[in-house]
Amino acid sequence: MSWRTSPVALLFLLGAALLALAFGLVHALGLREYTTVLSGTRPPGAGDGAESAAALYLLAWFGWTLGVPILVIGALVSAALERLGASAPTSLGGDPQLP
Amino acid sequence: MAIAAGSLAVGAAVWLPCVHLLFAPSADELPGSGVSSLARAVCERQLGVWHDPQLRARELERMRSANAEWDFMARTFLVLALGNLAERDPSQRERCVEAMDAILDETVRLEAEHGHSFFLLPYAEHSPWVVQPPRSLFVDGEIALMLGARCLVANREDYRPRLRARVSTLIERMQQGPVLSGESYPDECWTFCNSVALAAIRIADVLDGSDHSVFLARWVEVARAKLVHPATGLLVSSYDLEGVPSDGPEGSTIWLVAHCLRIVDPEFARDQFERARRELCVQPLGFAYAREWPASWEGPTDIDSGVIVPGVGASASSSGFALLAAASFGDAGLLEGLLSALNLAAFPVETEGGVRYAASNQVGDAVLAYALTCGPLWEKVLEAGQ
Repeated sequence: MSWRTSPVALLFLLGAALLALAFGLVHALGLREYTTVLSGTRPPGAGDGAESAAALYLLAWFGWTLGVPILVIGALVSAALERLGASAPTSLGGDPQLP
Repeated sequence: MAIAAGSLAVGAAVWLPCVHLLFAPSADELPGSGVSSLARAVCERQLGVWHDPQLRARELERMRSANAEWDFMARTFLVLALGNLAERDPSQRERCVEAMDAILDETVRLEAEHGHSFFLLPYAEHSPWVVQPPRSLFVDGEIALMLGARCLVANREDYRPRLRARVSTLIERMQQGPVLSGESYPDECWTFCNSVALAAIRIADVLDGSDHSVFLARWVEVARAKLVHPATGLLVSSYDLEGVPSDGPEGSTIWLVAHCLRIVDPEFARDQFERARRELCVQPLGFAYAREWPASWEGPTDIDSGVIVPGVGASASSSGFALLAAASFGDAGLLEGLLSALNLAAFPVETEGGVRYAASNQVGDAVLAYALTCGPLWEKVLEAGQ
């Protein structure tokens, strides 16, 4: 079994890609400036949704800095584990190569 | 399922202890004997705002619409930062002093034109002041501190009588209450403002050769006896003119208080810093942040505490002032952790004119500028005392 065909690893990588995409999107939309609400200040020209925009950016940021690397490492580990599992003997004495 | 959960657990166990390495300040960003690259960049941005009328008007308006005090405090902390920068880098002295004068002159002009309340929250006018005529120790203390800092860097003869007059007013009003504290708002005293006033008095003593050591020692003695929160040993943040506490200890107050008290009573200041560090600081995974309240006392979330991050209790305001205290008391570990957290969660924005923080504002960045340059002004005062 290759890591490329590990369903868990693929799921993790997909999750990482989605988190990266979400962060890229909110960053490109300029939501970083809305984080000024953390200091009790409103960004220039901000409407009623400034707090929500800031919360969205913070979630996406921590998804990018924490979630993506954890998912990528998790994908590598799960692929390795599944590969080990696939190559291991299924029951004692079941492997014809064993003496 | 077990493989998926185990893999994520391994991913978290590998990644989380390493994250701080991505956000740790580089060696030239850490405060040292000269001017760190970060300090220079933050100060440049601050000076840029001050020199650009449109940008300045926009930034000040943003702050005044939330809290007029921040307009005033941004001036104070920038003047203090420029004073330290001038001392650290003589090539910047002339430019810094020029900016300090411009800020001071405009601040005093606004105070003269509009009165103290121009820099106060609206409730300053909602009830009568106990000591008449109404004056805020917040405004008098910080203007005196700015004047003192300016004259410590380079004497200016016309500022000296102004400093003496402010100090005289501070002492006169502080002596009218039993806990030697002046009102910042009607029947509302703040340790923040009173410790700033004490620092200004101490600086004036160094400059003028006057001696208010008895008054300063008496203030500390009274504070130890009446203004300390029993469970933590930390000074409370606010109280009435009689000394009855209105709040417990607060991070947005105590860090600056400890810093100011360093030049008044170094031993008591160190004690307050150590207690605040123990009660308020959290240092997870190579980062650090400060909470607004100790575990034994929780106050209301307000304009001073700022937004409190749910779950972890992190306060931007307390963490910003903790940076100043960590720099002031030479706590390198805490400083590095706080700077790492700043890089992670305050969102630095590099511009042509320097660095600002998206999650901060003008006053937050000014406090940061002061924290990153902290040292020379206070050292001058401490050396004079020896």
